[in-house]
Amino acid sequence: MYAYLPSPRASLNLKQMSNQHSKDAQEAHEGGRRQREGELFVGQRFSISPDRGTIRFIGRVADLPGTWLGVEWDQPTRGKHEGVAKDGKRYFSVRVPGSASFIRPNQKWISFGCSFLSALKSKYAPDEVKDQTNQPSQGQETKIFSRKNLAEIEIEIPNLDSVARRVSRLNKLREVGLGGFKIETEFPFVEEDGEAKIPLGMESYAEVAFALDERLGQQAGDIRKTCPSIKWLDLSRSLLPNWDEVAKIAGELEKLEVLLLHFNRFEPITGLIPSAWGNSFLNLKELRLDGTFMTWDEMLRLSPALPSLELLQLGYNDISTFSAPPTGSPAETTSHDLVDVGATTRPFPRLKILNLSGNKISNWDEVVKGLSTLPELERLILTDNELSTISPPPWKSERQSSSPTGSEPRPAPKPRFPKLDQVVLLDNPIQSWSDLENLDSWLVSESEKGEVEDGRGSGSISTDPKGLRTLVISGERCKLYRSFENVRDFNSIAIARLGNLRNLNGMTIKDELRRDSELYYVSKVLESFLDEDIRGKEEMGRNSCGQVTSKDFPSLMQKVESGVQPIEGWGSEERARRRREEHPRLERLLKLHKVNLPDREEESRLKKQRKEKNTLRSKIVRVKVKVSRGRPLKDHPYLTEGELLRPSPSLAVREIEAGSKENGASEFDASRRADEETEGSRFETLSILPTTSLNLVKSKVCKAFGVKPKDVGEVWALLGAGRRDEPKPPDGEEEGGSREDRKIVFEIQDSSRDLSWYEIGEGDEIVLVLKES
Amino acid sequence: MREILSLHVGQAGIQIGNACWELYLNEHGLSPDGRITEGSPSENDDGFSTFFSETGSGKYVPRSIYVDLEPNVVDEVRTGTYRSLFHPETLVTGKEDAANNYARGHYTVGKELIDQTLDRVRKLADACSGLQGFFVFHSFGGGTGSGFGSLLLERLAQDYGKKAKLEFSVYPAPMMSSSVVEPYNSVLTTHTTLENSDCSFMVDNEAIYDICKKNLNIASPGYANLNRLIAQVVSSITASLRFDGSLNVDLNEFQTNLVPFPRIHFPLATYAPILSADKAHHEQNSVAEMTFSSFEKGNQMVKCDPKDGKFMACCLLYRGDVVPRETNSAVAAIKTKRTIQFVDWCPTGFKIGICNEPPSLVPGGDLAKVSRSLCMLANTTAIAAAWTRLDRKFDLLYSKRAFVHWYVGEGMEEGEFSEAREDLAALEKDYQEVGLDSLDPEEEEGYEAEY
Repeated sequence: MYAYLPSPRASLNLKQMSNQHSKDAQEAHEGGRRQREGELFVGQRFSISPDRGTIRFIGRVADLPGTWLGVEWDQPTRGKHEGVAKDGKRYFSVRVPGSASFIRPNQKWISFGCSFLSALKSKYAPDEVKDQTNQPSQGQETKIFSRKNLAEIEIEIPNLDSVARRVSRLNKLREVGLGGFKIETEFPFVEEDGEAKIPLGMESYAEVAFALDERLGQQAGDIRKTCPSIKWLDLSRSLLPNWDEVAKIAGELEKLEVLLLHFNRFEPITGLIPSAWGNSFLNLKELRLDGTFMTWDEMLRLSPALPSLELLQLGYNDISTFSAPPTGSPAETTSHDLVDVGATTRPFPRLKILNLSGNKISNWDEVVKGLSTLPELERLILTDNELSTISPPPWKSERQSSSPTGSEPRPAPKPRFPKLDQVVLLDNPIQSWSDLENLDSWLVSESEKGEVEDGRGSGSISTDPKGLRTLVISGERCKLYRSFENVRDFNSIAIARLGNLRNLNGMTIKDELRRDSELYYVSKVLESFLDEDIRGKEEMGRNSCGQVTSKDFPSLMQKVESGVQPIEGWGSEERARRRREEHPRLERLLKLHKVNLPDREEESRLKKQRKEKNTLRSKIVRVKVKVSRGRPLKDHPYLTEGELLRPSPSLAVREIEAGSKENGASEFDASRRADEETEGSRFETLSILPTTSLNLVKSKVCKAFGVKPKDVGEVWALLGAGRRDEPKPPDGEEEGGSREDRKIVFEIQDSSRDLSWYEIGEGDEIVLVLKES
Repeated sequence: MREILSLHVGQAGIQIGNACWELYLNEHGLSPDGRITEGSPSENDDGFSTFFSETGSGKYVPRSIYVDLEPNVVDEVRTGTYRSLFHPETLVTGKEDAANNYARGHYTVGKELIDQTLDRVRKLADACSGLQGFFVFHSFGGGTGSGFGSLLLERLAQDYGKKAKLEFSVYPAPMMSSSVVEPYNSVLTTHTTLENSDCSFMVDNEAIYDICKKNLNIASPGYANLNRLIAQVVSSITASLRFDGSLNVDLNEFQTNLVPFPRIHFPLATYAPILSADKAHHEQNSVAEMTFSSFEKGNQMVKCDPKDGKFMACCLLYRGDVVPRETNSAVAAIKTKRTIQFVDWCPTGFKIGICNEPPSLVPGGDLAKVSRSLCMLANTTAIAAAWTRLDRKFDLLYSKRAFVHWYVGEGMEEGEFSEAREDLAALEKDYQEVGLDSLDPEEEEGYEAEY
């Protein structure tokens, strides 16, 4: 904050400068450089094209001759110091360091602005309309065109005077812009009537500095008479010194709904506002105040004058803290001369949209303190702030800590954000999902909070629970958003985690999208659990072989060894708790989509299998091969013991019996294994790919058994019936022998086919039948 | 009166139509059921009767027809917010969709619906005192949009030969694509409509998608987002027709300016400013600033680089709080643009229009409210890049005759494909030729001397 000089209205007669008397609007337009006659005062605004500033000091400086104006520039870089002159004395203070300098009052091009009406007339109803049509740009002289030069290309603006006529009907004007422009330095400068070089892009107008100019005979009520239809008024970058002048202008515009006052430098509102302002902004619905150094405190003071306000924009105002709105009764204020004009105790009773872009808000608790009681607030725009975490609401942690059975009536907490359901968090350094989930729980209104979310899932949109319905979150600075390479992944997870969300980044969330996203999320999370478990187990397993023995952690090791997890599907107790915290909606989603938590053992085995599925080794099947003299029978026993040949020992093939030692053997039944033993070594186990042709198998077997291929008459296959995925017949119907014993027995006609064509797989038998000699 | 009939064909046409009519209602201060609300600008300006017709009960009904070969999209209109706005007779639907197949839209399925549609058009036209022309909204990629849209234009050309026929067509883009045969449909429909339409404003889904992503922070824009932006452009173009005398130049005058040859009728539209409602935009757009950004690639409705081509004509449609003296700075801004090249044979340069009616916004949209906007329409040879892209995709498919059987199965002949492709090649060539500098008289003489 800064201090004014003790003398509030140090005025000064500057007769020598009054040579530029202005008598009417036409002269006021004269480049907008009219001097206001007579007096200068501290707090007065001025412009020296293209910069604007505020007078903070009038008088002698150091021992330099003459009067100086100590000024604070709107554009800080325009200044030279901080109000301290060469003699080391501080003459005044400024808000932004380095934005002060001293200038002479008769500086060239200095302008103190004009009244609202004069500015309006000079822009919309200038007398020199006729001149405009004769501008050289009309292109009469470009009859011979050389198209190479763009400057000679004709630019037609037909019927310009009709446009001029239309805009000059001031009483019909609905949208009026009398604001100045930021000057882009990259814009080329253009000469204007041999005067100063003005950057292109600044259409220089008379600048508004006050509401009415009495010396031009403008009286209260004139604005109402001249331009009663104004609904939308832009007075950005004006020379208006304080809210009082704004109130005077706005007070006469009964239809005014939108007022833009960006980059104005108003005197701060410190006390209660004058009651006269109470009627000035009665119908005002939108107020935009970017870059004005307005604080939330000032806005609260101003709020009684803004009873209908629906949209407030306070961007780039360096706001970082909010003070809680006054809760005291209006009775307190009645003793003052300046009354609290609003009858309501709550500020901004109708405010729906609040835009706080580009401020320095880093603490969510501040936001709660200041804004949670606004009764109608629906959309909160926090673009380009410093929010990185959002703390959970107090009731959330309460609920978690206390057991749900304890149903003592808690003291009813204050209503939090009664209507807020749209939040814009563009370009905030939000880091984790829990912040957004906390935000959601802040917005779920008090009466509905709890398990209301259950009502909302895919397929059913219930209107009751509020929560976070619209979220805009993206931008370079958002860490959470940036951590995703694919936008769709981010969207899916956001939708699944935030159950109340209906619009994300401008995209409407349809039921199908929600369903897909939730399923995707569930599958992703469960997969990550699994990975974590496998990794965890491997680690523990390693430890058990190494330094740590089961003696050290008996219970833990027991768990690991037995492979049983205490809480099914959620991992160990500690892990489960953490997982529940990380994925608060997961349980609900599992229930909603009827997803069962996977059997962990089964799942990890399958996963392992899946991983190995694509190797050649995983595809190898083991088949038993036999050589017999007689054909196999349809029923058990399929082969007569005596007729089986023994493999020739000298030519024994590598894979003998190897199969039964491997894991795959577990598929063989114990009874069968016993069977095999009685058969002795009358068979070979051949490990081969199912894509091997039977011809090849035949020749291999012949080699192993020492028979000649030409002696082989027929090839038979015995497929184990129990292995097939056929539906099991009910137990009672089974006849004779266990199911395991039944086999499909057939002769292979075409031995050029491969094993898989005949569906010969793991554990099946191939029998070569020798010709009868 | 100079009435305009808007014909919305296929899903894209209808959905753009929804966005447009929503915006029109807003701009003219009409309620969703077509009644004038208090304080609307239309209370003392009946310019909007070019687009709306008044009923006996004082309601205003859009002079529009929605046609689709399948009922789903129109059913949404029939049950939506604006169900009581449209006259039920102006919503025409068939039962069988075009399945992304130009041949179905144009021949087999389309022919069953065309007479009914033309009947409804005739009814609307008869209710006009002086019909000015038609706006046909359709997509290039869809079956109904391409097939039925071109059929409708053909028939309109027969029945209403002298009336202006303007198109708003959606140029296909991979990210918003619904089918693989979009290049076929686009080339076929362009070929059919080239002779029948007077002026065609293309909007490239890819370009608008990028604008939505970049300027409006919509991570994955949907059709609704794109359409709202398209509606703003359409509204800027049609503003001169809807607000009585508020614009100094009529659209027809622009059209005359913009189309030097009947086939070269695809102006490039650019819109500025495009600002997100979720950010604080405190800077007012000066006229010069808007003019500058309208020459930037980021604001174009079709992806191409104007630096690669030459301008034949250029119209700047300013809207909102623009006063005559500000046009000076617009002119100055244009003159500093050294990169703009004009063809040397055409005398027209820039034409500036000012409409005092401020741009309006649909509540809940993505765009920020501004007091003024600019829509630039430029006939530039750079837009030929869009045709080149399309032709290349067509050739990739057609070299293998991929998917052609779907079209042949509906009774089309393969010859029509090659014919259409040749026509497009000719169009590309046309653009090349108009971009060439005409020979100087001196040079010409020298040439003859050499000969």
